[in-house]
Amino acid sequence: MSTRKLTLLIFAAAVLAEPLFAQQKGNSSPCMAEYENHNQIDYGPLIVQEVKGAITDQEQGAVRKVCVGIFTEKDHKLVATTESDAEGKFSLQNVPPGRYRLVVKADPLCAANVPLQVVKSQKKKKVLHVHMEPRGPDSCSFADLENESAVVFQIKR
Amino acid sequence: MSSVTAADLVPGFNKFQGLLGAPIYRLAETFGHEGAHGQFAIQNPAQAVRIQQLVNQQDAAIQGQHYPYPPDVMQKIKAADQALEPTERFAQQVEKIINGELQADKKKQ
Repeated sequence: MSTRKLTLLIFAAAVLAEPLFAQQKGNSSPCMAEYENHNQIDYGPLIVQEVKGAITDQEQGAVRKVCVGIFTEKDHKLVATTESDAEGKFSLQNVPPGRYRLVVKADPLCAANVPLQVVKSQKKKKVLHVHMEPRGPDSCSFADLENESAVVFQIKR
Repeated sequence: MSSVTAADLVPGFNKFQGLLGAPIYRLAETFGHEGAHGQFAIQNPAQAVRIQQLVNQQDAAIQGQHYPYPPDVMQKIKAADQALEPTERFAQQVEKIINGELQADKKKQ
């Protein structure tokens, strides 16, 4: 094989392999999350053992394929991101105990920013239900805690 | 409350700054902010009516729709969102003044 052909082969392999490595780098999700806290009255923190739940719109429809990010509350460092699935559900694995802020963005709705406290164990496991709403005068998207079955039951597809 | 919140429309102002250990002062600041929305509506009645119209149109458009919204609904949400900005900016500016007064009062006591 000539040197020229070999060079071309290596170049083609590098070009084809690039997206593969790029996907591996963005392990959790390719979505871009930025820290936000614009609550006039900051509620919570909501206490959970696992950072998972469902996102719904005002009509209780699943909000799918939107960016969910979790940040440390103290220094606003991004811990993990993911995207909601086709049923509006999301899950962020292996988040160590501590204070966080969950940010959910679904343009043009008001971005939800939810203070969270992740604990080691919890008697009654609860999941997050993020209610996405348009911005109002001092009102925005918010979250509450519900039983897992209740959230799944409520979502209209 | 464990931390202050940066006001998004008034650069450099952090809501509840200096009042973290004083719930009644924080309540006063919030009351001042909400009151400022009322003051804005009194001083700019035509604009306040327009804001309410746009919010009503947005709410009507959303009824029965699911995310992701069609372009006409998206446009109404964005229009209402933009219309709310002047009243929010005014409320945050007033809140900044109130925050300063409350901090001064807290130091006196």
